[in-house]
Amino acid sequence: MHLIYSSTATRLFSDEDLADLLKKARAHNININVTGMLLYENGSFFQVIEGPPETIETLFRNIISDSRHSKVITIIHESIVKRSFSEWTMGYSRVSAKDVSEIIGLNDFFTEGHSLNQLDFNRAKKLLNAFKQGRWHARIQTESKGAQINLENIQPQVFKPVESSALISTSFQPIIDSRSLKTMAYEAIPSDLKGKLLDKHSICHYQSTSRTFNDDYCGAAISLANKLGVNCNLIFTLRSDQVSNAHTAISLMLETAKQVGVPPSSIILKINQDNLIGDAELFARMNQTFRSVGLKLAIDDFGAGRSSMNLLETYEPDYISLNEQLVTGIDTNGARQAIVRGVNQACRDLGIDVIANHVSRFSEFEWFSYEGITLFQGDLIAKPEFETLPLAVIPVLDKG
Amino acid sequence: MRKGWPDFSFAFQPIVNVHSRTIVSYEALVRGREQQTALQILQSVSDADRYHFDETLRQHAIQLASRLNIGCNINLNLLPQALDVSDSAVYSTLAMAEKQGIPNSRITLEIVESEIINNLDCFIKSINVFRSLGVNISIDDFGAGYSGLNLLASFQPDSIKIDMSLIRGIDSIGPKQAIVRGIIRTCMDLGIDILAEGVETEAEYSWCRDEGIVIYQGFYFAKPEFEMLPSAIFPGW
Repeated sequence: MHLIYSSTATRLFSDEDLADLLKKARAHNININVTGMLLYENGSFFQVIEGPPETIETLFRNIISDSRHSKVITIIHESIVKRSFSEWTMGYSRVSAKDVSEIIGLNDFFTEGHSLNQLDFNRAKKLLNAFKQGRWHARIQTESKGAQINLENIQPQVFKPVESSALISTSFQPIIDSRSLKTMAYEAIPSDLKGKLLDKHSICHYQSTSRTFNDDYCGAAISLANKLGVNCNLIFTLRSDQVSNAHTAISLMLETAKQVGVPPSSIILKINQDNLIGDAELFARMNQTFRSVGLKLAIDDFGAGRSSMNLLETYEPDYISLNEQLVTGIDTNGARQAIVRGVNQACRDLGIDVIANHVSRFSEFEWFSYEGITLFQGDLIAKPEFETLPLAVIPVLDKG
Repeated sequence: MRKGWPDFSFAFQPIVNVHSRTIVSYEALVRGREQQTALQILQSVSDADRYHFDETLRQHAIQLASRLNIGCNINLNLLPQALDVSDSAVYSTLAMAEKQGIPNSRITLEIVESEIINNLDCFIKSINVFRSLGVNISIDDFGAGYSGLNLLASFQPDSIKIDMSLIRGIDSIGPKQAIVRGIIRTCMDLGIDILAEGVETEAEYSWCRDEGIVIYQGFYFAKPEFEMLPSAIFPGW
């Protein structure tokens, strides 16, 4: 679990004040198995703390009540695969505006007079990543390098894979990143053996004729994708018939992935929120467990039916996939444009990537591109193909 | 009063514009005469009677507000299903308003977001008739229910009320801030007014104010008062 927050100092901190604060924090953190780092710039703090969930929560409650700072804003609070700062009981750096401006995505930030206290989710992640990649490592002041701590890694439950159902196979459709000009993922779509895509209704039919569909479809699809030589992410939809048994289905999927050498971090689980209403909290908790091993989460059909902005808060997904009704004809529909702009704005703040799904016309592609959306899926890019990883066509925008 | 109905009246809570520093409206909130909450009152009415009761509430609220000499707008709640059940659901409200000398343009009908989407096309058709008569439409509890922004693709109300669950603690919760910024962005593009509901602390208010929200309802400004039109406290500059 890591928690990232920013705050504003209630008074200016001298070097001695900071040294004292760090000394106490480090001594305490060794005892409670917490690591992290602290940035201080011109009266603003930015701190990452990582450790066991209960410890982090207790520690954070104490931090909030500390009178030396105010305006404590939680930016990120989530499970993690491994610690980023495991060698630091509390690394510390005083950053300058120039340092931060060297990070892509933050270069406009401090020049506009912002402080650390105004970092949002996405920018905080960028800052964090810059640190993970080793930037300023040398400059970080730290004392107790000896305190190496192992992460409490959550392992998926191991299940024995079931033989693949012979009635269903998979079609694949690519999702492209128009900025890197690469295929970022293939979505696995259940199909019958003639290659016909199965909708929700017909899957229920298959489910009743093939009892094992729930548990083995994803595993079989991963094996197939692996045989076809997939070298990007794979997207699976958690279907309504799997929700009641999601923990088993996901565990099994990850187990198969492990066996064929596909890392969990390259699997994206897509969920349709209509299936989860009523049990959203429970699902969110389970989801945290799987995400700590690297599984990514996407919300499907965002902007349709019951999908609401507060799902972004409940699930904190990695991706949202826009609903067909929002995407189709967006280039000529002002209301849809306004909604996508609002959704996109929230997602950008939250570090969630938006996938424009069901894009079938160039004019739609163009509109999304101008709004800064770079992930696309749909017939314009490539149609789903049976047991094949189809090549994507990436449209070229007129730069004039 | 119909037999079996609880003995109700109303509390009124100010809706303020902090820019003009005026009370722009009062929301009429049903209350029991024995201090029952709105929920208790509504639950004591049978399902069969619910929509008729809903209609009656609005007429009584207007009567009371008029007796209290309301000088601004009035916000009234409407169960959207009432439109299907009774042709007079809103017309009876407007008739009562006319009798009390309150023009349609001073009436805002509040509709809870989650109740609209069940029969959206039908709802839009009937509600547009009332809009053409000058009545304002507001979406209540926005962001709390199931639909959210996408409702605005097919229906653009005059205003939305951002649900208090999003407002609570917004000054310190990053994800809520991101969501509300997204809602603000969409509503500004669509020309929909934004009201922040359930504002209780100065910190919540300051955050919303910094994001450009000027219309508020909540304990920070004024509590609802039984059979009174209370005044509001405006924050200092």
